[in-house]
Amino acid sequence: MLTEVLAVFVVGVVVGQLLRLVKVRPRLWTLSAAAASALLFTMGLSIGLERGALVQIIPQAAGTSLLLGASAAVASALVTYVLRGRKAD
Amino acid sequence: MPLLLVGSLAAGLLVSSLGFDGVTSAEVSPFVDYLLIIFIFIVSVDVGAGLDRKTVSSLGKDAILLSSGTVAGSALVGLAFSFIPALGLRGSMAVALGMGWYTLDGPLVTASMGALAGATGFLSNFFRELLTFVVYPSFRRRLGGRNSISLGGATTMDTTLTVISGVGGQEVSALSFLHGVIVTLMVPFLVSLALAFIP
Repeated sequence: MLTEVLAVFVVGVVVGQLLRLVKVRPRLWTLSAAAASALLFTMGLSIGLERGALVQIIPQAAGTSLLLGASAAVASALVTYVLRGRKAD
Repeated sequence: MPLLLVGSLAAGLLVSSLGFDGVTSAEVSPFVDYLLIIFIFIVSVDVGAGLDRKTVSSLGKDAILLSSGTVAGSALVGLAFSFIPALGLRGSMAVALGMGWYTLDGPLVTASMGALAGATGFLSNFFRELLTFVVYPSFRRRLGGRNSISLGGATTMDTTLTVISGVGGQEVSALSFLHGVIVTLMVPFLVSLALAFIP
């Protein structure tokens, strides 16, 4: 699955560059939003169909997720600040 | 957009609770894979079509430095959270290296590690995006508008670009977009590498 994802991603970027070469700028925002919504709906369905998932998984994952997401964001900004010579520009 | 996406996930969870006798998560999972492939293709065409040489060469060096900081900071947090039993080093790295791209990270981690780790991947990266909306203005005052772009990870080319451009101005917007493109290009590789090679 992971190999397929990477392969499709590379093919997509190449197709995008080719479209740019022939001066076609596709407007994919709506299509992308529709695909993402369908993907997340199906993911929600998949998670929910696991026994007890609705009750157990989300509360279990929420605390860790909040801490991990916030830490990753703040650490990224701080590391960038240090890498760029502590210049606040 | 974020509201629509979270609404879709919530709708899926709600529909599953209505009762499907005999339908299991394993039967639905292949559809997650198919939709993920379609979604990745659409996003990657959009990214490829948006890359032009002029933007890349003028802001390239700074964008690469910023992206390196984003990846390094996220990877450090992935290492730091490896003590969580449900994730381990493999899961925490895969979640942290999602760098805000929750629509990709959640399904990818779900496919490899199951629902709990996948939900953590989705929520963690979703919180990262929400946090960027809220704290970018205050971080900009302390760390600078450019360094603070790293907060948003991959989202700085689309959703959080709105707040970054609104507060930071045109030059920061261009840098934010390019940073988002570079990080977006890296996320599928880094998450896949973490899931494939970390025991």
